Amino acid sequence: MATSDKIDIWVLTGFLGSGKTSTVNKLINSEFFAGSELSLIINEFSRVGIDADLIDPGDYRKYDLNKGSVFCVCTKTSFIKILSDIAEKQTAGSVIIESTGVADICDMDAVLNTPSLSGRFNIKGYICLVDADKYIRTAAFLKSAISQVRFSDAIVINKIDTVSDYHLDRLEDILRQVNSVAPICRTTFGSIECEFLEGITHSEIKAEASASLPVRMPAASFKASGPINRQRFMDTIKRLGNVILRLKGNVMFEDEHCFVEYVFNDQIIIPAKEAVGQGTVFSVIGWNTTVQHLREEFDMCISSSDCKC
Amino acid sequence: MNSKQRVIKAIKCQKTDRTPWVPFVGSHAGSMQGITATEYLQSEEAMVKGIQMAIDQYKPDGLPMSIDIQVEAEVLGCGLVWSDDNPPSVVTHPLAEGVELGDLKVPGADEGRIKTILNVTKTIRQNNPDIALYGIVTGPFTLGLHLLGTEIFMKMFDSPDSVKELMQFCAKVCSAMSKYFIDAGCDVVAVVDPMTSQIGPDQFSEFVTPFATEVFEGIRAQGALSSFFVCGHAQQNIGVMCDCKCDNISVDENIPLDYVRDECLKRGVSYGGNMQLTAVLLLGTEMDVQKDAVRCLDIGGDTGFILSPGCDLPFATPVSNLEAVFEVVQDEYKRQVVRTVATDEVALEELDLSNYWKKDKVVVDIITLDSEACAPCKYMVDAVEEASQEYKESVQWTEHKIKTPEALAFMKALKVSNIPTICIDGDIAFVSRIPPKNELAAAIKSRIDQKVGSDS
Repeated sequence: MATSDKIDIWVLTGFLGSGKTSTVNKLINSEFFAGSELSLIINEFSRVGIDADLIDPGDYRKYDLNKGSVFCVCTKTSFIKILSDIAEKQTAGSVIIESTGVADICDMDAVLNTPSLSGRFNIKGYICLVDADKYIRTAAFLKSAISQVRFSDAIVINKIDTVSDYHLDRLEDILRQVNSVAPICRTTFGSIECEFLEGITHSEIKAEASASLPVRMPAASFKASGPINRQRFMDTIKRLGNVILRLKGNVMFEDEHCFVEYVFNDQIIIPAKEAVGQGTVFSVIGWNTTVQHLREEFDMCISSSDCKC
Repeated sequence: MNSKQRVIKAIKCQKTDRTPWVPFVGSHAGSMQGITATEYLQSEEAMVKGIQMAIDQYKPDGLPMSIDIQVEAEVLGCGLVWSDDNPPSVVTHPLAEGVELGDLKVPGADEGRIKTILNVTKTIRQNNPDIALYGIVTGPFTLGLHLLGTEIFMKMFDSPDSVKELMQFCAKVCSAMSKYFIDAGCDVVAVVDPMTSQIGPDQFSEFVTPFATEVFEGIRAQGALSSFFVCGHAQQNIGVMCDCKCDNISVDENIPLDYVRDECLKRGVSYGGNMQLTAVLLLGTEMDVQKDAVRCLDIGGDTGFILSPGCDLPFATPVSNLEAVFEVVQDEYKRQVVRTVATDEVALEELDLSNYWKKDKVVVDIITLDSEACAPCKYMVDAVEEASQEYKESVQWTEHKIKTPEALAFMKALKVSNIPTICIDGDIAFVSRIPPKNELAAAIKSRIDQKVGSDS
């Protein structure tokens, strides 16, 4: 698997809970890395050592980076130190980096061009793990969730057993619009087929591409103290159609207070069994639209003047 | 104009006599004393000593009292992991582990390491009345992340009101910390909120702006100045950060400084940054550091700009690199030299000097910026000319003005790294200082004697 005299680097990105640790365990025990000299860099952001402790024991070097993101300027020096140590101890083989959910991978190429590391490593692929259920809720607010997909060389939709096929198709369509090139696979428990890994080709990230990402997944929250006309609310949702990815919150209709959730085309409206506070509060995540558009649409259906957060 | 006045004027977008220099010395001051970051950040004595060392060696116009955006989080119940060469990291989040927001109280000035840092501030203030002191406060969004963990990003959709309640509490903590620092003698309160680089301007406006604005207005009401620090790819938020009514914005190398300049100054906000931390300050040479400093100085100029590293200095940053920054900050001549040397980015021809040296003469080369335009260079050329008078037939001297590619190539060939420099038969003899005539003459004579002696 390794490329001649350079050490291969595989970077695993994805939000907390997307299954990166399970994926790392699967990878280190897989045929793909069998017989390969291996180092792991676990970039932890939450509970101390928990991800590192959950890695299966094995014949590899493990480095814990307990501060921020490997790609944050503040952590870069520690990251470079670890890579330098690996370069000294390892002649070939691979490094698997489990990064944090907030890592911005644009800086990786620059890190490897540090004089002390130059020529020692070869990036084999950035693999982004996407939680089939939670990705949309995260990506609307967390910039790196979009950029990790955008600049990945492969996308793995994990936990596919938690959502419907329609949900998966819509999600994959969105991911494809963010990254039109990277191969996408669907899986559970972080299992990635060897053939998929073998097909991954790394593309260098252009600095200008990384400077700013278009906002394609805006989010907005709404509040209203007065009652909402149910028909107008439902018409708004219908009119927006696929523009709405998710909607969730409590809506005080003219006749009753309801919990409302909308996930792609699945709609749930449940009368609130208990008091949920006064008025209406809900959030919307859109796609290929703007915050302004979402606000204009929902402002029309919210009858109260107290209609923005 | 003293240093403190210089920083204050710069923050207020007033012209200064030169650009202020504010190195972000955090745990690096532990490295200066040969102790770990852990020892440093938990010792009042070590912090006072380290900050004073930084003041004495780096000649800053301003300095932070501590750079550790985990201090408040620790008091509020977050678990930390300590490191020998970094500030600690937050690894447990009380609000994600069953603690209710209502159970949390705004930390007092006498709690945890807050007390330590405030004591340090008072001592440094007393001993250094003319330097601007910065109090570092964790920004509301980053503090919120410490308390709740990355769950906050999903709660922004699932329960935006609860996130705003959290931000409200965090803003109260920021305001309290600001007051503690101002009362202890700080001139500037820096609200450091790196995690805002993770969200876009719409989310910033909704979840950060109202709360951060409250903090900055409070700082202003107490007669102090404020700075909003962010690191990471936060270019998209510079405008909304300015809208929070801070006096100054400080950024790291991920955002182009000219972009920040343009966005800030048109809003009447000053700005600072953004020397490269790792590639230059930690791993670069003194010349690399000076080049990067001049890059920033040429963009920032003398109005509304403060020169600083992009973030907390890496622990092991070479002291000489930081000393080199002040050389260019305070000396236009040095800046000119650096600008000129920097133009050798284009590949210089490798010179073959094998036929350059003379068997019957000592060759004295003076590498200068330009003796016709700069005083130190002229004095050095005059010194060589005068010292060589006595040995006219045995000495050939030449000035190499590095404004030309040929002279730059020559400088590189002789491995000269400072201007002006005198080389005698290819050996570096005098660097930057102008030697007295007798010393220079003696050096030339010594070389003549060696040559005559080897040839006899």
